[in-house]
Formats: sequence, structure tokens, C-alpha cells
Amino acid sequence: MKQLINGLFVVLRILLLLVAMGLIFYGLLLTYTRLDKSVTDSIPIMLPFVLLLIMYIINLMGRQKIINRNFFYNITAVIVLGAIVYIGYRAKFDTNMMLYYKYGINYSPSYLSDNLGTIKLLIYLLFISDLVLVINYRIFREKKVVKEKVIEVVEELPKEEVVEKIETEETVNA
Amino acid sequence: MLKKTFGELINLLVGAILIISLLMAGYLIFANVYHAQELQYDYYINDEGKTKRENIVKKIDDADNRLSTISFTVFGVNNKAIYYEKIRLGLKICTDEFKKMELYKTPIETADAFTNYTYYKDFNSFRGECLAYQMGVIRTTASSDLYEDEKMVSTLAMHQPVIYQITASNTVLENWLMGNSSYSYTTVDTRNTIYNPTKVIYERLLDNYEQSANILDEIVDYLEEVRATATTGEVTQ
Repeated sequence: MKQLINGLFVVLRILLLLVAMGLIFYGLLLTYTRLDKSVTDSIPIMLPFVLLLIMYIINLMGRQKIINRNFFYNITAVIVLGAIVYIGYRAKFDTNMMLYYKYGINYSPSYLSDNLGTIKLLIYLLFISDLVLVINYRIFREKKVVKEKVIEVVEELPKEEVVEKIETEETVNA
Repeated sequence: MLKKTFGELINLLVGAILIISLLMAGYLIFANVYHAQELQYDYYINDEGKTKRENIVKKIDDADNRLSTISFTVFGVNNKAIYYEKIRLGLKICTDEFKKMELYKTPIETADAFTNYTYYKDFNSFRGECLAYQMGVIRTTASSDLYEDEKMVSTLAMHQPVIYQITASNTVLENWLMGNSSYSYTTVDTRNTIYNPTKVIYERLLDNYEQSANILDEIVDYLEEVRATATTGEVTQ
């Protein structure tokens, strides 16, 4: 059950990341077109999104259980990305905000820019968490594998042989 | 052993980062839901507001009818007739502009941020076209050496403070309305600039409409008075 929920969250967080990227990029494109700014100026804002997307692809391709089966990370990512999607949605569709009409682009650029700093920070935090968890797992995984192998070898031996070996070792030690 | 402890510490750090992210995202969601609800505040228009709107519409209709029927042919074809005709046409542009506005076209039951912005936008374009431009043209024409209509100049001078006040109040309303788009989190201040003023902004806008209608009405009154007191002596002027 837990695995199923985790699987759902993994799919959901990738979908939400793509939607959030699209909404934020759309907002930046509209705003920059109105200001005659180059689209390349949006690179620093879109960079964390791209980094996170690359990380998620690596997680999926490498079947990294440390992230894909990490319930806390998955639920945090879904909530963070959900909040970003909600902000992107409101900037485009909440017509009660008066600056929506002001610049004739049917969008609330000031509302988006109010939230951009927090959005960038949150995406960087998700990226850093993911990266650190993966690196941390890589460093300690080797030990775990050796331990698992020893257990496997011991389990494969007949029980009597193991008992005999332990007993001889104990007498030698004594 | 040390390596393992270090690894666990890193895991703890990541957990802390994730908790911070979760709290920030939760805050963002709740603050935005609250903000969206505040912006959807509706103000139900009371009878006083409805009566005021009806009076404005009546006044504009009346002024427009009188402007359509008034004729200065009694003056013959001379500068005076041209002058009054100029004023009449200027005022007619004003009433036509007024009739294009949403407040004139449809009565409303509730006002919200969107209605207020529509009324503000309409009024702003009317203010530019009529109160600033047409009134300016009339004032310049009336005070020119060719016509020297002192009574008209004094009538307009009397209305000038009201026009200034309408312009100033319109700027305040604009800032007030725009304030709801820039938002960080709800405080007493942001609350006061978002949903509480829906009623106040609507009433202030209605006052501006009413004062403008009064100005137009009074200038039409003046034109009618001129027309009524026109004597044959003036015809030969």
C-alpha cells in the first residue's frame, strides 16, 4: 500500500513539476514580452526547475529507492509543487486582481514577481535535498551491500555447518 | 562508525530542509487561498446606492435631451451663435461619453473588485475626455478675446475645485484598486486595502459620477438661460 502511494506521488510530482515549469515560463514570457526584455533573462529563474527535472529523471532512470520510496520527500515535493501551480494558476485566472487588466496582457505580473523569490528558493531546496540524499546513499550503500552479501552466504550454508564453525571458533578463542 | 554518524547527520539535515520547505509551501497555499477569498468579497448595493444611480441616469438623460433640442439660431449666424454651438457640442460629447459607461447602461445588485474596476476605468476615460479636455476647451474659448463670456468663465471656475477633487480622488481609487494585486501576506493593513473598501470604493465612484453629472447639468442650465434671455438686440450684434 505504502509502495503504491509512493508510486503515485512519484508520478504526481513529475507531472506537477512540468505543469509548474510551464505556468511560470508562460508568465515570464508574457511579462518579458511586455517589457521588451530578452527571454534569456528568465534563465536564472528557470534554472532550478531544469535542475530538479534532471534530478527526477536520474531518480527514475537509476531506480533510486532512497528518493522514490521516501514518503516524506515525495509528499513535500507534491505540496511544494502544488503551491507553485496554484500561484501560476492565480496569476493567469484570478481576474479579481486589478493589475490583471492594467497592462493589457490579461495576466498579473506583479503577483507572480511577488512570489518568484519563494518559488525559486523552494525548488532549490527540493533539488538540494534530492541531491544530498542520493550522494549520502551512494557513500553508505557499499557497506550495506557487503553486509547483505555476508548474510546471504551464511544463510546459504547448512545450519549444522554454521553451528560447527561457531563452536570451533569459540573453542579456539577460549 | 564516524562515517555512519556523519551520514545520519546529513539525513537529519535533509529532513530539516524538507520540513522548512513543507512549512513554507503550506504557508504559501493557505495565504493564497485566503487572499483569493478576500478578493471575492461582494458588497450588496443598498437602496440608497440604487436611488443615487437612478438620479444620475435621469440627470444625464435630461441634460442630453435638452442639449439635443436647444438651438441658438435666434442669434443668427455670428460669433456668438458659433460660440454657444461649440459649447453645446462639447457638452453633447460629454453626455454621449457618459452614456457609454457601464453604470449608465446596467443597474447592479452587487459590487465586487471587478465591478469597481470597470466603473473606475469607465470613469477615468470619461474624466479625460470630458472633465479635462472638453471643459478645458470650453474654458479657453469662453475666456478668449473673441467671446469674453465672463459668466461662463466664472461658472467653470466655480466647478474647477470639484473637478480637481474628482481627479485627486480618482488617483487615490486607482492606487487602492491596484493594491490588491501586490500581495505578500494578510495583515490588518492588507485586509483594509482589499475587501473592506469594496463598499467605500463603490460609493466614492458613485459620488464622482454624481458630481460630474451635476456639473454637466448646471452648464446646460446656463446654456438654456442664455437661450431664454436672448433678445432681438443680441441677434443684430
